Amino acid sequence: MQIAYDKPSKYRAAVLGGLIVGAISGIPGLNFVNCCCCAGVVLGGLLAYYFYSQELTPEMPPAEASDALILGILSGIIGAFLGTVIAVLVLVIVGPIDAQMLKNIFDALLKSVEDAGTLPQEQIDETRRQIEESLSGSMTAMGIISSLFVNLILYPIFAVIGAFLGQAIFRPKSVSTVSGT
Amino acid sequence: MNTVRLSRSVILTALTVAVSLWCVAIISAPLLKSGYAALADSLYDFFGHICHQSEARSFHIAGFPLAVCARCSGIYFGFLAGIVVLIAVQKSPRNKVPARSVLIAALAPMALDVICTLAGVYESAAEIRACTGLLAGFAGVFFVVPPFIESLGVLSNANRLR
Repeated sequence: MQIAYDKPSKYRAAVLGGLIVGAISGIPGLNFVNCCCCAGVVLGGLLAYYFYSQELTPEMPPAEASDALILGILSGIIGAFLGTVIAVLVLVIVGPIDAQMLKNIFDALLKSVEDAGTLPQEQIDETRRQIEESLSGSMTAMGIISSLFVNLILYPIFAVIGAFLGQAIFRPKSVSTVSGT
Repeated sequence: MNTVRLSRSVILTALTVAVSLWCVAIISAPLLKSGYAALADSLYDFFGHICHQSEARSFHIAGFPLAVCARCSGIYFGFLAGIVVLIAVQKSPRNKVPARSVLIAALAPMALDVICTLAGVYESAAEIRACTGLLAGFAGVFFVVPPFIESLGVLSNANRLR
């Protein structure tokens, strides 16, 4: 008699995916990745599906499209909150420290990259602008809340897209339809 | 069977409307800039969450840039075109997904373009960015929309059985 196992809980994979989304979104300089059509959020959703697929054993039912949908939504929501928390933490940590000193350090780093010519000037300018915005403390409470609200709408959408792309990439080769038949 | 097809057509119609509105909003921002600046700025702020909106890398209408860059514009308009084609060619309720090699082939030009630009090999033109984005967005429909329809069907059946 074959024993059927239930599929594992999605929360662990969703939290891991959300951590990736939040880290990319909240860390100054790294959040530039999201300027490329929310690539960081899509990546988080894709990896959430990957982590979930790694938990599946041959005795368990295969992952389905509904699993990817739920994983994407959860990781997007978690990522939106975590990204906001990380962005606020950056402001709190920078507060007691001389922001000008940090800005000088970042300026020196960007200047060396600029002199080396390894990145396009526009990208350097955009990175500089984002770092200045993060360090300036110009984000008000209302700005943070409105940004969180918008991210709670956008991040699940792009994370779901990432999860579906992850399903397309990481599904077994024998499966050609979403129903697994 | 008829119920499944009706649900699939409703979902596809809703998706088409949603993506169309998204693309209209992208174009509307520069068109509204002259007469309705506050509304236009709101649109620019909204899309600023998902795009760098660099003017040098964006198409322009009426002297103002679109709400997103050329690459993102290509992706979203390609996605819209893909949905229209999906409705036309995939009449079967069986939600098939192409081979992953098709996805990789569709994403490769855009990835290559991004990597070469970052590495300083060349400075990509807006048209190249838009075309590579168009291809990625168009192909992405066939990997995203069918499982989306399938997942909604599974979840609605699960609720019906409770």
